[in-house]
Amino acid sequence: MEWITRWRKRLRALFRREEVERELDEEFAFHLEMETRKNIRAGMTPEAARRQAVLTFGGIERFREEVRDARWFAPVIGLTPDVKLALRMLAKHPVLSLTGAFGMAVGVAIATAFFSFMAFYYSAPPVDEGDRIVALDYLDIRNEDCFCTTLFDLDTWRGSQQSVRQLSAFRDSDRYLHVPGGTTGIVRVAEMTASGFDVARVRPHLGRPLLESDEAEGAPAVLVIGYDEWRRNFGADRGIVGREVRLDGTPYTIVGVMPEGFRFPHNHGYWTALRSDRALHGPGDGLRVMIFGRLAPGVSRAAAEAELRIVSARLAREFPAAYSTLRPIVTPYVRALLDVHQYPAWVVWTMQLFAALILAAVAVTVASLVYARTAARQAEIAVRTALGASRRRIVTQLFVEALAISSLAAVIGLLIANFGFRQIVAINPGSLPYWIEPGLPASTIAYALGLAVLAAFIVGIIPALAATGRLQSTLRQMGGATGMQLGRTWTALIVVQVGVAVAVLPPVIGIAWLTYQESRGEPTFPADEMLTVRLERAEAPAREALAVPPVERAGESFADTQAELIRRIAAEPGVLGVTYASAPPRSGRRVLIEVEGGVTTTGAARLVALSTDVAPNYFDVFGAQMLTGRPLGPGDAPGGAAAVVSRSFVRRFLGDGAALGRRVRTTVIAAGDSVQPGPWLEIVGVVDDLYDQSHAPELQRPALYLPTALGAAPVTVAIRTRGIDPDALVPRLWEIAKEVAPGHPMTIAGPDELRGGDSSRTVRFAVIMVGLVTLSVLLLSAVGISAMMSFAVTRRYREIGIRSALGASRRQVLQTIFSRSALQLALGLTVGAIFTALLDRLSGGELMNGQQHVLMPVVAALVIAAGLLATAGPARRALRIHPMEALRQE
Amino acid sequence: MSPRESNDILRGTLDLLILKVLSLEPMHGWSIAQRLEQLSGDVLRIGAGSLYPALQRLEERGLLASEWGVTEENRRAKYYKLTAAGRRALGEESRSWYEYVRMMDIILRTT
Repeated sequence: MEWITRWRKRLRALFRREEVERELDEEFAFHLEMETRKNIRAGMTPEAARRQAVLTFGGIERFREEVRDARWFAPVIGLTPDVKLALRMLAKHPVLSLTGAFGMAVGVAIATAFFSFMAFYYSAPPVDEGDRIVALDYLDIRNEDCFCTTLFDLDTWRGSQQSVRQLSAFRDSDRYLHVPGGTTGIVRVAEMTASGFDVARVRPHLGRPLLESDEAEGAPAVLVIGYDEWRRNFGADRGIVGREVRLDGTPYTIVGVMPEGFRFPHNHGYWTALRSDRALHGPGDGLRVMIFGRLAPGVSRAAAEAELRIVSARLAREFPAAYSTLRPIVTPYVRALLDVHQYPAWVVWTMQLFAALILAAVAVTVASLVYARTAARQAEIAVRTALGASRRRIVTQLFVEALAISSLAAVIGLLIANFGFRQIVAINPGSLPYWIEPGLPASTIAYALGLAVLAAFIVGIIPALAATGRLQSTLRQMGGATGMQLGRTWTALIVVQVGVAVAVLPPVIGIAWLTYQESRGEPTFPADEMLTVRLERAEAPAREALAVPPVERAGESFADTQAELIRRIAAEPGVLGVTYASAPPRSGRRVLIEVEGGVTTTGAARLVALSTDVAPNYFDVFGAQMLTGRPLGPGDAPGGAAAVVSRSFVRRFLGDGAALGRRVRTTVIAAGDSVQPGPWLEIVGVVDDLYDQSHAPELQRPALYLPTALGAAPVTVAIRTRGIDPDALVPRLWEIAKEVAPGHPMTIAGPDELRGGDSSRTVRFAVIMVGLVTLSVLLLSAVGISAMMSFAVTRRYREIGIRSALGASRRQVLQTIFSRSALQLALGLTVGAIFTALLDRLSGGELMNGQQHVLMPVVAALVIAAGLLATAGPARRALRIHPMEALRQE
Repeated sequence: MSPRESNDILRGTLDLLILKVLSLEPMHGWSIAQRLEQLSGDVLRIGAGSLYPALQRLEERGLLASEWGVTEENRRAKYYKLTAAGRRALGEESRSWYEYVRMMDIILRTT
């Protein structure tokens, strides 16, 4: 049981140091008193008795140190003296150690995350000669962006070049899978040319792969499934070949099962033949596909690219509109999957270097903190040197101390990186190539350890050399200049740190707050009864701009397709109403509002509203209440002058005054575009807000509704049901879409999304990550300020003592010491605030979302609080300096 | 031997001496030093710099326990007392000390 008492004492010594030290002091004082009394009894005068007692006792501070050592480090046996000493110093400066470790941990996390990415960047599919598999794509030289290639390109390249063999293509397709008597749900299917299996050189586990004959128009629809899918959805049935399932309602026959671990080309468990009516696909048009193949034996990527350039030069002559600005590129397969193939390797390496530099920058900050402490420990180092410790020995000791901090940082950093990585995978499952495992590869862990040594080198050795070496003696010769020298660099460092904290914090807090508040917004429409569907155009949208004039598909425009989809959905049983708009609720274009005859808005709220183009029956279907005026009707032409606004719009921009008949106009917020206001619009009605944000009215997004009709642009279709579960409608929606708009990507959002729950997951993750970085910056600056002052107090110990002896008040003592840090704080705050204000201005107010009048003071208060907290310790120490003690120390 | 703080002698034996003194009754730090001085006939003078770290070390090893008490003059002081483990250690270390002395004695006599 005694060990419990012992550990309680140890913990107390660690966490309640003040109390423990006070007891020590009391014990020593008692000892001195008894000794003095004894001396008096022996015939001394009280003064002499006291002096004699103190003399026999010796320096109190040294005993404290020894007592501490005896207490805390007695059990740490079997470690080398260096490590022991290092641990002792770390425990003695827990704030510096922990903050330094945390700051560097964030740096390590960033650097290792990039390093993991590098590992993926150089990875290849785990198949026979996987590194010979390449992707073929076009780079648009105008914007350095990659286009996805089309089937036309596949056909062209198949017939015109020899460098890349077994040319294949695939595209992702989300389908509704129905297994009779089994599972149903949306699955990702690879529509792939049969040759894709030849590229992979992997034989099926059961049955056969896709064959070229499967691609033919009118051939039976067949499906190959993955091993996991086979086990999970089909009970590992060995007689599965020949079974029938449905995809989007169409029957498919299973012809094969791929072996375990095979999820080529990306992360797939279902494969169907890639079919398309190629007659419809001209140059620069048609289905977007990813093209890949194997480099022919002995051919390099550069050689393959050279051959493709010849082909594409011919295409550019034949079809200048579509091909004149495209440059073919041949890249390792994984880079196309990760969508980074447009960046050459040196860009990725430079990014990696920068990521490592972030850590180096943090390490330099920590190094300067350590340097201050080392400088404060000059006496200790001098004594150790005098006692025969070699310089190498002392440097080693300081290095080991730093290594202890940076190792801790590496461990925390790896944990953060691992967490981040898993979050990314969880947010977007199946987004990474199948051979990339979630988790950190061994190479990354090794890299993190390497970083730890590097950081320890910066943190430990540089200050150590500076403190023990020639530099130090030079500085000492310069006398008073030492303080200035350190002070100037340090002032700059602290100003920058405070500035960064002030600049980064407001947007982060703003985004976090906004996300939280928006998730609290209650829909005023019956979200539980609703679904939204959005159909995208199947063709490559960027190519559309190139092909002149835009090719409309034979007899059927996208507007007709959308109209047909709406008509079919409306005819479904259980559907009460269908409407459409340019964007889902709470989205829309962000526009600046200008009110004719001036604005009667109060405060600094910016005049931003969300503009949505809506169908005439939009408010009907959503059940939104008209507060005054009329809704938009069939008589309101798209592009006309009528507009309906929301309740919050009136409150924000029209000062709750009469709205009907007022005129407003909008300017679209777009970076880099010339700002041209639209025509004047007349308000014909006011409608209730779709989301109730009454708990935070300043976050209510004022809405502006304009009339629209179906056209070439995709719309969001909103469906209101009655008497059925909206989710039950989803399978039917997929079937209808398959019939009405085959090949068009479609997204469905259910009641959950409309209520506004989980879309914030990505944002939340980003906020956590940025928050960690910010916190580390803030902590580091606080510790920097604290260390700076500690240093100042130590250096000016005697001066402070004399000042108080000469009758300086507490305030004057504090002023002497802390005026500089106050100045640093103020400077940092100013620099940061100016920077943020500039960024906010540049972003058109997007950065802080019009909340700067709340955010800036909050952040300033936070930073000042951190600064004050940081000064508290040193301030107390300075005030406690006893004149006599100070003088005797010399 | 003149009265002095003899670190050389004390280094290994101070712990044993403290344990021995405390086996009689709980004491505070100063009185331990006084008692040792007294028992050694004023030969041993224990400095605070040796005494308090030793007390902490012994407490850390679980051989001593400490608690705050009040002296006869009504002053608050920290009292140390032997634990059960301390009592055992005193027995063992006394034995090995005698063995050590005996061995030294034999060697010094024969050579």
